[in-house]
Amino acid sequence: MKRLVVTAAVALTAAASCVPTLPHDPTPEAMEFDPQSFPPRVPQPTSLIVNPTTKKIDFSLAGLTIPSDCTMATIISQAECEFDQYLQTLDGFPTVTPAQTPATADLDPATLTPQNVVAFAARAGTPVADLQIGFQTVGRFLTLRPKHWSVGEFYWAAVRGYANGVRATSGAEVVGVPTQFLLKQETPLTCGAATPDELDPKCPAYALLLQKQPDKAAASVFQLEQIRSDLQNLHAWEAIQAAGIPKEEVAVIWGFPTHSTSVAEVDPSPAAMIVPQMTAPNQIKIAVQGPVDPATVRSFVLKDHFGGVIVVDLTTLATMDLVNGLPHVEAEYRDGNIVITAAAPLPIGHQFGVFLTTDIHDPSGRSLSPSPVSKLLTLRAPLVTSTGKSTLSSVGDADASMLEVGRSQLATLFDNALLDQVIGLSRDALVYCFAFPVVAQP
Amino acid sequence: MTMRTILRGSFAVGALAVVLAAPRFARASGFLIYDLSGDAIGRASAVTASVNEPAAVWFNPAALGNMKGVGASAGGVFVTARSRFSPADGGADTESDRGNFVLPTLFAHASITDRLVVGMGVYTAFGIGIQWPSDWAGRENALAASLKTLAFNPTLAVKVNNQLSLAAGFDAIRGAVDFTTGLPSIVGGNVRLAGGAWGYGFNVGVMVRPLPERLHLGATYRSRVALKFNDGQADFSPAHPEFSRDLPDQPGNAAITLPDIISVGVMGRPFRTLTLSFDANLVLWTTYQQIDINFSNAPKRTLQPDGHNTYTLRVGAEWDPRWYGLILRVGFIFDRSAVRGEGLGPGLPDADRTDLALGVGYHHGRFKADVGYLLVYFLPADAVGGTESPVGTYRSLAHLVGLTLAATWR
Repeated sequence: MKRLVVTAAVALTAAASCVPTLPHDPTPEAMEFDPQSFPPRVPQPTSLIVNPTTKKIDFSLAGLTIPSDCTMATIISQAECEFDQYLQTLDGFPTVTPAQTPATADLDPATLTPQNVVAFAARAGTPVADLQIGFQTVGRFLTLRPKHWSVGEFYWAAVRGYANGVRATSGAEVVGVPTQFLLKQETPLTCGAATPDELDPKCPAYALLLQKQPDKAAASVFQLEQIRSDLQNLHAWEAIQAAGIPKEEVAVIWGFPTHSTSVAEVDPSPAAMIVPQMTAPNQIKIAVQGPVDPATVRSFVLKDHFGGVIVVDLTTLATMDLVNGLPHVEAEYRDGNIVITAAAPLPIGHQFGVFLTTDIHDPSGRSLSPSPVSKLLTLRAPLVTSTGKSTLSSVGDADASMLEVGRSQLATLFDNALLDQVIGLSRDALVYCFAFPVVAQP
Repeated sequence: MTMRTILRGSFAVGALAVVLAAPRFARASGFLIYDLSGDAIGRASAVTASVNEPAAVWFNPAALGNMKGVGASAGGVFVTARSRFSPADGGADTESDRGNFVLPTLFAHASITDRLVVGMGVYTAFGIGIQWPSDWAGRENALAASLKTLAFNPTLAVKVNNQLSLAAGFDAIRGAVDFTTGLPSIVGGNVRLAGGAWGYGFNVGVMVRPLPERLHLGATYRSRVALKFNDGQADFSPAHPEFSRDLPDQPGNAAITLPDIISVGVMGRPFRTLTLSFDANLVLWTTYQQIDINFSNAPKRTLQPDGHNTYTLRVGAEWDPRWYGLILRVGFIFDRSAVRGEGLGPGLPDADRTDLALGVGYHHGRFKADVGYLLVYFLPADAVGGTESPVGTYRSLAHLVGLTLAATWR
């Protein structure tokens, strides 16, 4: 009997004390979308900071006010302020802007394929071909860019995640974040409420948001609903589907416009290499995206006429030889290029500067927009700190250091009151700026 | 409101999801399973003043003081129960899965001297077991709930004199929880929380026999026992993987405090063949007012069942016809609900109950076998408020069958 009792007690103990062993599921990685973090971890560029009223880029929509006087900037650097001021003059993003979207982990390059990372030109109605796709481990950004985006276009971009999409280098699945999940919903996130007062706390999306920040949930759900409905009404999902990724496999989607004004592009980065081309010993071609009124393409000729195309022999000008430092050139618009022809071959070994001003218009009379690199080269504030760190969040340290060399050299030019007076070479009037050495005959 | 504020990328929704629901198949109020022997079940467990079997370790250990020699019993209580929920908006009813459970019991006692008796009990007096359909309206309140407990209860009884005996005991209770509840509908899926804990308490009893074998009075007190599930694990399984990073599997902890139980009883034997008894239990379910569930990586979730102290009234009768060792029993119970109104939830759809008890025993020499049956009818209970449960009415019915085999050696 005693043995029976002991045996039974042991058996009962084992049965009752048995705690289920729960599975430990692997945690997937994600394509991030977290504007709360600092700096925000969101895809860029994004239409979310294009003001629907002014149609211009507006950083205040991201909670960032750009001072009108950048010497007073405190939260951001003076250079960042100047550059952001420039961006806020645009009705879309510069065409050489690389798109990027953050991830929670390094992504496996083998999975960064054109099938998994796509872009779609909404106005042209076609997928973007020849995307360069990469991963920037500093900051963990998936990057994508064509040679350049077209002006006046609206792009949708997306990354395929989940079982068939991109993977982390660890092999982990990459998924979307809850915000992206909400944006995929077919029905209004507000459950039909027109005002915050009408919101039903049981409305699923609202209930979800209420848990984290009850005081901000109402505004959040309306904002998200606006984005969700935009995605739906602008047929974003259909566009991405046409580019090859079904909605359910989209880990992150975003859209952005490019500015509608024409631009003489310059981007010396290895990925783009959009720079002036010397097509003859005395000829330079500058590619322009968008239409140009040929009549406004006129060269500057000292003591003759003030055109918007200025060529400066920087080497000669450094000797204070103003006449030979401003060589006689002719300019015309031909086949999408501004073609500059000098009276004589450009001397090898000389450093030349090519500048375009706001005097050049498109057929509707709008000035060309400055390209970002041109703008960076004309900033008043340095692009790097004394320790070599970039002063702009959107420019890497190496690029900033490279550009800073040119910027500081050109600054002496722009700060020269005489030149400003003689040829009108001021920062505010420039839409294009590039300096290069004449290294060889083509 | 800034864009940064609006477009938050993460949602910690775990807290919304987990409902540490309490047990449902329990026979007495809350999740107490008071009826632990075939003998007692037959007379509605109105035995505080009349228990005369090894299960006295549970019902009133002071009664052990009047037991001679060595005795032991083994048995089990089979419980089968089902609940039905009728939503207030007139939708279709939902029924829980039928829960079937066997709760084993072991009791023993032995006289050390003429006045000292030691006893030991191993039993389940609190438990959980309920499962609802995965898509039902209250899925965010509870999908499945399980609490298994096993009490180890050594006790020592002292026979002061022929009219008075006293007892005290120690309770070591092992508990294992396993709860599953649905995540919010937009997230989908569910979360399961499991853990184990030990808790400790004590009990005391007194038996007064003004007229030995004719009129007895008894009283017991069992202390509350805190079960702190500090080593719990939460397995989040959102249906949509977008929420997996915000709801990773993670440690979790919670605590349930088993209530104090105070019982008083009286037994009268107007005839040598007829025993009548009456018990009242006071169960301090205010220990079950609030449960905090803490996660390592998600906000705390607080449940508010708002348990009330409650009472149970028991009336039993036993007739020994002196015929082939058979004994017949009958009883009736009225049991007040521990959880009411806004605190009522599918994990513990408690209700006022009326129980009918029937039993039969057989004695032969030193051996004894008892079978008891209890029909537990839950009166309709309305869940209001909509926080712990969908608004609607719960209706439940349970059957208990207890079988106990006992032997004594003198």
